[in-house]
Amino acid sequence: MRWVWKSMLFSKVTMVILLVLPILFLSLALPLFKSTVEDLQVPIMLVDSSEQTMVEELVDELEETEPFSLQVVNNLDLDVLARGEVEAIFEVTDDLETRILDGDTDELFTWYRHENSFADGLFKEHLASTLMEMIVKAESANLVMSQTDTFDWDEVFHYGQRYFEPDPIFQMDFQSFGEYGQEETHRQSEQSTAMYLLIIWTYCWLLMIYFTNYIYHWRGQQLFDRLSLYRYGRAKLYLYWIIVVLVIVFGFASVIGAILHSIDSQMVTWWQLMNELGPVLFISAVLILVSSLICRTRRGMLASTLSYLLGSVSVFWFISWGWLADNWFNYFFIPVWLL
Amino acid sequence: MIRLDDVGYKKKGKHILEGVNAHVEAGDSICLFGPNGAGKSTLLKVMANLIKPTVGVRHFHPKEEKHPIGYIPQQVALFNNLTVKDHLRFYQKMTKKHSTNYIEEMKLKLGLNEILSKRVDQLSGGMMRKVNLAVGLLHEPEIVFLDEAFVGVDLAAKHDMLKWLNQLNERGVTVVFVTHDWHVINQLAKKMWILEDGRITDQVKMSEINHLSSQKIAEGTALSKMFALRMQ
Repeated sequence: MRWVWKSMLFSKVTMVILLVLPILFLSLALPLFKSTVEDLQVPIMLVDSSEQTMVEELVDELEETEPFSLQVVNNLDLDVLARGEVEAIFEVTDDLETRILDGDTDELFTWYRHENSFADGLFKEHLASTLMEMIVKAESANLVMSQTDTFDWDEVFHYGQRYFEPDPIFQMDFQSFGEYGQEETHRQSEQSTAMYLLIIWTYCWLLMIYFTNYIYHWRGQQLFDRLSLYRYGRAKLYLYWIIVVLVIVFGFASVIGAILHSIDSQMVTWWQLMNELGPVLFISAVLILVSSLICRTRRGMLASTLSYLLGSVSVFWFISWGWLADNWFNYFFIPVWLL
Repeated sequence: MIRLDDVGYKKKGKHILEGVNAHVEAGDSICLFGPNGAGKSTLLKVMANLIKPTVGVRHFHPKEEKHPIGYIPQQVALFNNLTVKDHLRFYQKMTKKHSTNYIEEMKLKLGLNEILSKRVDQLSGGMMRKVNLAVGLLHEPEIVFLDEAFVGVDLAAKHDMLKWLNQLNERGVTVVFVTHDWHVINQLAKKMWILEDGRITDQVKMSEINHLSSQKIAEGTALSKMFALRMQ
């Protein structure tokens, strides 16, 4: 088989299609993607003139997950806001810790925003929810301390932490309902994953069409005629072809999947890629081989496989946009399996 | 070795072969001769069992069941990116042929040792034809079918190929070939089947051709007459 592998892989055109085109595509697309990611970092300034320990804890919590670029300073400088360098400034009251301990939650922050500020409202919500956790813990500690002297306040305060993280004592299954009434479980994230899988499938489908060139070339050279004189000779060459093609497309899909995952860990995992795309790629390779056996001319094969590609991608999008109802015959188009 | 009983082949409603009755003996060397479209390549493929006749029966009785046939197609049936050595090993693997003495002798006779590490697409037309011949003969077949295997081959390469084929024929290998090359026919053929419109119109021994009487020539078809006159 290694000779068939060598014969199919070591050609200039194949190398260009396999390596240069994806690298070119990624090198053009990545800076664009990265800049989009960077744009999502909303710049926020937090002013804490008394450098309080509780503010440090709060900042640690805030910076953990959300796409905010948080800058902590001691002095209020409204010019920064005027110049548009930050979306908003939140000034912390000097006695934050004392007031939280007392259960007094009025006007803990002063919120300065520019008239063009857009995403700072999100930070406000995030700040409020994070602060609320601390307040609830403090309230709980106050309540416990008023009933008993057995525990230390800090001990009770940090004990409350376990109710938020890291081992929640109960979990919630989040589900919502869309306009058609059907259940939409994390629908948006699934659709974006399906879209990435569709792009990878499309490229792999085109790759497989390219590799049928070898079948037509060998057929034109009467190579199959020669091999048919040997035991399973013709079948072996077709088998080698499909193995080589599967190795190439699976390898290609793995690399692209790894790159996408390294860019955004939420995007698609290698396992998810193989689990969802693997069977689809396998069936696709078999379909392409069968079409090259049925269509005796290269032109006929190109027309049928490219039409199928166009039809499949269209059906995929129509279903995604809700323009096409879920019907059994949609599954004749393999990419629909990714949805 | 091969007997064809009233063999016919029809494709898309057109008769390519019709009523072919012929017999190939072990050790024969037969040239299929005729104009373009006479059905020479189709007859060769029917004899090689690459296509099934639509009418009639092909009988084949080889000495060994395993890979008795060698086929050298009209096209250079080689993988472009592989070296000559890769090809030999690939076909060794496919045919499970392990007799290295025969392969070494063939490489020597066909002058392949100098080009073993060269890729096929770097070879001249003549060299490609030599490799094409070598891979078809690699498994020591009992009968070899050559379809225009000498097209575009220079004299030196042709000489090597003919010499090797003659040697094999002397050892008992049957050779059936299609060519328009008078030089190849003279050097290799013992018999000649002349085809016209899908039928064998004449079967002649080469040794008899020079002694054909003018009466025989006059009785023969236009093509056999032309050939006989050319040979005389």
